[in-house]
Amino acid sequence: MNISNRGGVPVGKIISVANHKGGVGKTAIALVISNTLSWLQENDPDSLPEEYRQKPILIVDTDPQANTTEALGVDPAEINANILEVYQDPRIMNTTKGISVILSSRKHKNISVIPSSIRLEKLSGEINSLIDGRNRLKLALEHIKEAYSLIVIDTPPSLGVFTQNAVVASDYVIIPLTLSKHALMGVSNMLSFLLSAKQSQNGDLNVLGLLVNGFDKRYRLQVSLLDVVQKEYKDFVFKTIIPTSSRIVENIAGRRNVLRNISVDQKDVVIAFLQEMFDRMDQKSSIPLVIA
Amino acid sequence: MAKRKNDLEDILSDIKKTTQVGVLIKEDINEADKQEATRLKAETMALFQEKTKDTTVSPASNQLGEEKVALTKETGGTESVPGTNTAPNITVPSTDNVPSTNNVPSTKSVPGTVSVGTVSVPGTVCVGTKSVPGTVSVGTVSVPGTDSVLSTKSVPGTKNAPIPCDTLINKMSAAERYSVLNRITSLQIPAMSRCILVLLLNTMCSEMEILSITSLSKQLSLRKQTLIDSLSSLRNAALIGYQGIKAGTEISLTPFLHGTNTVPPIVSMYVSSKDYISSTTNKQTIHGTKSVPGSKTPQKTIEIRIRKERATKIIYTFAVKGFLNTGKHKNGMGQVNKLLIQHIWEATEKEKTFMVFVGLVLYAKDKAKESPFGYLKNILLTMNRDSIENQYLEEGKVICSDYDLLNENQLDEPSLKELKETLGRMGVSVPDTRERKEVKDLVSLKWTQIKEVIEAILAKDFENYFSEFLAN
Repeated sequence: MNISNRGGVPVGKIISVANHKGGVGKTAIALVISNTLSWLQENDPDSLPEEYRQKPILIVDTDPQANTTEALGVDPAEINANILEVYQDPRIMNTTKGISVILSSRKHKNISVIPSSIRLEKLSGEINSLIDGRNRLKLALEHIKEAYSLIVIDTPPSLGVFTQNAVVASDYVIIPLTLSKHALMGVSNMLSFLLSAKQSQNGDLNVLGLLVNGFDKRYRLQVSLLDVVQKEYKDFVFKTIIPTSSRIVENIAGRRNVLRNISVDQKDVVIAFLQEMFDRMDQKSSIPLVIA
Repeated sequence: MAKRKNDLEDILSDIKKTTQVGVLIKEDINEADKQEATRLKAETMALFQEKTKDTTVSPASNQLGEEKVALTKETGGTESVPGTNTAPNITVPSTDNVPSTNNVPSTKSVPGTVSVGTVSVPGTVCVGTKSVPGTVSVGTVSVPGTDSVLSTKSVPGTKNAPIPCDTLINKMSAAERYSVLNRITSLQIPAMSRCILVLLLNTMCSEMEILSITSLSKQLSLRKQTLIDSLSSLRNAALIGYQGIKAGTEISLTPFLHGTNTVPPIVSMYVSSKDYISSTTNKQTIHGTKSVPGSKTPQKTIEIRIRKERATKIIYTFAVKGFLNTGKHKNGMGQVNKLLIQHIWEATEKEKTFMVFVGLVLYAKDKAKESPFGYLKNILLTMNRDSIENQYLEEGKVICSDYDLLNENQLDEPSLKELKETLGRMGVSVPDTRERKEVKDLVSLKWTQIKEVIEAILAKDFENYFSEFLAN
């Protein structure tokens, strides 16, 4: 597979993985994106554009449950520096002290993380009352984004201030989705939230689409729902569908690289997903290029 | 089976209904994308046109163009007032037929109103501008070549925001205002309280006033309870006096204006040590920051300690990366490295430069073919330090945290694996053992050797810098 021949997506782009429905695989998708890119950097760098070959990947965990942080081998209870400081004072990232907020993941090569903390929950009220409460993450990431090939933000399952911060800071949003009735019913709310964010806070926001995750073809309901989703939303749904995988679940639970020991087919799927994601980013990024 | 099929169909029809809504919103998002693209296109076109104009139009004609714009703006928004003549020496075709310049009935003069937003350009002659007592004219601009308007006009029926000129904030000089606002922004109080404090300064005409909370809340467009809460929190922070009396509510800004309360230092691990020092040894008053007499010595002592620690970490990096021969450098790094020592000393001044220096050491070790010291000296002179790659900065952080671990003698904390990694980073081959004690002993032994070298270098090569720094 070669994804190097693309129209120059600039580095330092920020992608949020967001859906206010819980259990749709936001954390898993955030980890899949970062681990797959990191795997390609190590094993098949020629297949990547030059700017993606070396620079590390940053995961920003904004979910107070800190599952992504934990899955990356960083124990949220042990560390003092976390995203709390970033929300309290975004300018910190402009200082060398801010570097200490970013931790190298111990078990995932070339991936760094801004860890989350359970204490973040307490801060939500305080941030809400601040005039720049929704721009804090954006301000912080502005200072460091050039150093990374891709920044992936994992969001909490809500439309609260942390998801708002993530959406305002992002260039792209992916909406992961499981094929269940309630998850699908929530999509319209999510889209309406993103629309208002785009209209009021972040005009540059691009919604890459709905990503079907955890698909199990043995479930008749899931097959039927997939049909409905694909017919109704058409191109808005990613063509790549991430099937359910016990290996990926085990790897996340064991704090391992999500690609470890997965089948060749599975690996092809996640690489195809990354390819499609880059393609969609190219398409969206090409809007201003039309002008030139 | 048939029942199950019916159930499934019911669910699907439910889903389809809600999906329709989602699809409509998706269309809206696409529409917003298109609008954004159109906006970008328009902006780019405007920029392009501006650029083309810049390259083709001479400076003189450019100036004229600006004048045209200014004149158009002026005539576009206002009316030809009696006494105002058209500029005789500028022929601007585009301003001839400005629809809104003639006979606008709503621009009749109303005596005693405030004009806000009229602009005046230096070089014009103002003849007989009437000043209305108690009114303020803010930022008046006129266009070159035009005569001035005899009296300022405003539109009847429009609400002009009263700007009281004798409020506390207006009584202050620019420097005092700057200092007060600086103080307010550095206060550790809720944002709303901070806003209220600014509003009070902009509302009250004397330091102590008896006000009605109800009318104040209406004036400030705030909920009464919000105002009361904010005032209470300001009182609790000893910034204002606030008490209810028979005639109303007595609010006093004396504690804030004349208080010598220091700005609370933000003791966070991310506040740089330098900022912390300056915040603890300086006092802020309404007239600005004042140094506390006698605070120089402790400040210097703290700073020298920080710089010493940074220098130590840099030498530690040299040691673990094999720059230093532990036997050879027991008597310091020697005269040959005088320039390098100067560089190290300069790098210890700030946290950022220090981290970058450590990154450069690691970079030099990685890239040098023969002499890492020579290579380092070379890149210190030639390389753009900001271009150091992130991986070296990250590695530098790990090495510095290793140093902290060793220096604080906390070898029992890390796991065996982490301890082995630390040993590996210290340049010692890691034994294949599960004996924690064995690994710990090896780490301690190596640390003792490195420590000796560090102490020798600090004593020999850096002592002059430390003493000079303390003396100045």
